Amino acid sequence: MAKLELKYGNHACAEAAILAGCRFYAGYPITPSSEIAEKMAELLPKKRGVFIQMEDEIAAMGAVVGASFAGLKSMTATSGPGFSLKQENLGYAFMVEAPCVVVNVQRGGPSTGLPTQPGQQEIMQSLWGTHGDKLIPVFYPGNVQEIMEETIRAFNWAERLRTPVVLLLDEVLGHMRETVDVEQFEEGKFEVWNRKMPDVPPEEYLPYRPGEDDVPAIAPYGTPGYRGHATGLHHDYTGFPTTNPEMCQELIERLIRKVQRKQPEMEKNEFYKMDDAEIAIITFGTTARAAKTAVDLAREKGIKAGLMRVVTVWPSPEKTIEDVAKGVEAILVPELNMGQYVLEVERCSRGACPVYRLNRANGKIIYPNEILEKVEEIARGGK
Amino acid sequence: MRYEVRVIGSAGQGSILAAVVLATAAAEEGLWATQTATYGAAMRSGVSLGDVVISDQPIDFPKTTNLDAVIIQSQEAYDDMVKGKPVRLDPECGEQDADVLVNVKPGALVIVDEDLVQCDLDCNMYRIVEAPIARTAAEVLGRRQVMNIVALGVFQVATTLQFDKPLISEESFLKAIEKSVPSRFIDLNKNAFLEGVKIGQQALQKA
Amino acid sequence: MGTPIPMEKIIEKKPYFKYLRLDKMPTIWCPGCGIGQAFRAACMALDELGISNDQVAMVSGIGCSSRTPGYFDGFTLHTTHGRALTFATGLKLSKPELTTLVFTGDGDALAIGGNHFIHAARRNIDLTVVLINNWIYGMTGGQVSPTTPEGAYATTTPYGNYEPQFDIARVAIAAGATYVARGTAYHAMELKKLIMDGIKHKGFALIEVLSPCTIVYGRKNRMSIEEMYFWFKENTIPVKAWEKLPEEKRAGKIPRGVLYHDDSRPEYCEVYWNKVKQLSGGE
Repeated sequence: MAKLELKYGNHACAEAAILAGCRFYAGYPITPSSEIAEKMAELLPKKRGVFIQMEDEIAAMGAVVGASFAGLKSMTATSGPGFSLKQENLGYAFMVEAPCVVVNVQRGGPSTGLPTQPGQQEIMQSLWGTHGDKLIPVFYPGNVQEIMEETIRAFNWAERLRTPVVLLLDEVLGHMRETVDVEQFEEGKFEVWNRKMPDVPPEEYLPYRPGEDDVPAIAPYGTPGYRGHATGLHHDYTGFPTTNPEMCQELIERLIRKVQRKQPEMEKNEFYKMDDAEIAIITFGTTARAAKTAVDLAREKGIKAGLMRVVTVWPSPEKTIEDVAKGVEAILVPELNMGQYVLEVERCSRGACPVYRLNRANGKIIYPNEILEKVEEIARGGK
Repeated sequence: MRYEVRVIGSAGQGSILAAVVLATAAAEEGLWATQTATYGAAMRSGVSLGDVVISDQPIDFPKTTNLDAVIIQSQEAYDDMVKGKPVRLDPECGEQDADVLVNVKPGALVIVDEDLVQCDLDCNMYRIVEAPIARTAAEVLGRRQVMNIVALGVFQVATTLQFDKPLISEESFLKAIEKSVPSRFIDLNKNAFLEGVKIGQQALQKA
Repeated sequence: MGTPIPMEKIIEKKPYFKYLRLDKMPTIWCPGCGIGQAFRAACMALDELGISNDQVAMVSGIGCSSRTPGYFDGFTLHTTHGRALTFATGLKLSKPELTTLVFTGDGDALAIGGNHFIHAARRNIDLTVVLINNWIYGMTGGQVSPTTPEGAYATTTPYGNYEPQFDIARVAIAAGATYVARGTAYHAMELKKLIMDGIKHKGFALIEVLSPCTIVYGRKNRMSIEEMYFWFKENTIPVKAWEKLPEEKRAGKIPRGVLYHDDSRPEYCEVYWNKVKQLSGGE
């Protein structure tokens, strides 16, 4: 039998981070993510970890990367405006391959927007927010149980691939209490991955020489003999800046490739009544929960609807979406923004079926009946 | 089974805490639950509410859409729940007119404070339980602040109007109180809950 | 060219060479630039203090001075513009046993990184900050900085600078730094001593290094390399002597040496880890 415990979304995220081995948190107050910082402030000192509230969002992201170089599993959490401010150092973390987890509890934007109300407006920013090219894993859980699972998974992939990982939540998830089956989070019942260490003697050590998995084994700073350099500039295997075109091209290709090649292993979706579905709803987070109910309501009315809930938003489940598109007559993408993920769905479906949208950016969530109405409209042949 | 409850009152009446205790009690009972609240301006003035969805399986949509039960702690909260203008305030309404609650199922349980709320609902449409909740908190427990927990006691008993046995046991509620309130207030709140059960039973006998 | 002198021989004579990544030389710095002086002073200070390469982290932001860690054979981090102190804070707090130096410049630390500068000083975290003040943005080609003297020319002040200068030392003291010193690229041995004391100091240590930007600032303001070094010699005086000067004679003279030193305030990492010890029940 399930061992149920009521947990607050943001607190569950903090607790799971500790379980995953997180021992450093730097943050800055911002609604609706502050409860993650508050929980970390309470838990980390007791776990011999570091909590620090920095002077701003930029500083928090910098401190996280600094601690990551010291060898600690590190994390920060924020929301829209803070996520924008973190982009520069998030790009740096990607470039220098500093494992870390950045949580974005999405609220309504743009700008200061709607601080206490949900949004899903950073689907694209989480991947494309920094200047330059980038591919990082972005996970988006759909309930409090999954917040815990995905937080642990985010740390695991961050460490394994030496990359920042973005964990998207939304205000509803962060500020919701929900029962969690805590049994799966008992010690030894979940996997914890750690970053690899160099397997060569100090004199052969090159911090940025990648292994076969395209991931370099950079020793934590302070490891005797394994000194090294890291820079946000294009760099060679020693970590020292270079402008050699072949080396620069290879660096960027590798940084993207190391994440992309793990896409099949990282992909995570939930399929609900998709087997015979004629209309597929593709969405994530809180909106997916409304969509699931809408699928049931549509089926009661004789419409064969189904749901694909995307958990690993990036790297994109391209092939899966294409297959879904080939097997249905239409796709609907409801999301709390003015049409972001729908662009990716349109791209991946390659014209195999029409893709419809349901968008909103006023701080109100989409309710099941609203999705139902749209599904009915599509079923009637309208749009 | 999907069961939706709202605790609504004026700000400061502890509606959200009551919802948290209720959801925790559901978890203790082995049921799945979600609890959501309204944030923002309502946190300091006006009406404040806590919603709970309870189910015997994991919950899809976490917010309430069609309430099975509502606990109303103040007149302004009641007015807030009523569709249109309450008959009490509408000169054009006659004796036979009744209020209708928004997003509340026919047959739903409506628990109101008999002293604080003038309730003009159709008793054929809702299962109405009126009890001296705030008065019990003030006079029996000496603390009006615990009226929210007294109300939960009433609710615990009143669910027998909808189910064969209470939806959530007394024990689960008492455990939930232990987990949810500061330690120095645990006994007070447990007593408040048990007093609520008592007046709930009396109210059911009357009804 | 003759046969190169073996490294051991060089280190015998100049032991601070052990901190250099000689394979990364030559440096990107222009002829006459003072950053090399400051870097050498820092290496000599580390050597005299007997701190090994494996015990030092060096963090920097962006700019000419921020290129220093690349040439330093330790644990080095060349980060984003203005943010060095934030990375250094995360690193130092996680590994307090690492002697952590931050190399930064006037634009990096005081303009884009001003907020981090005052807060790192406020926390009194044990970082030794070597701030190369060359009055200009050198790497981007000579734009005005928060320390450019009034009237001086920069590419963005073609009619002379009309903004007042930041007094770095006073900013640091006001913000809570517990060791504040000023040296110059001309007074090399004195600078070594100042950095050494800064490293020894447990708390936030700032060493401002007045340093000539010979190519960019010098050319814009018609000063030769020699003139710039000579300027530091003429216009700075030891702080003890400066304090004895009557008010009217202080004008235009810049005091050098330890300007502020306070050992009474607790250091941030120590405070934090003691708290952790209490909360986690002993070691």
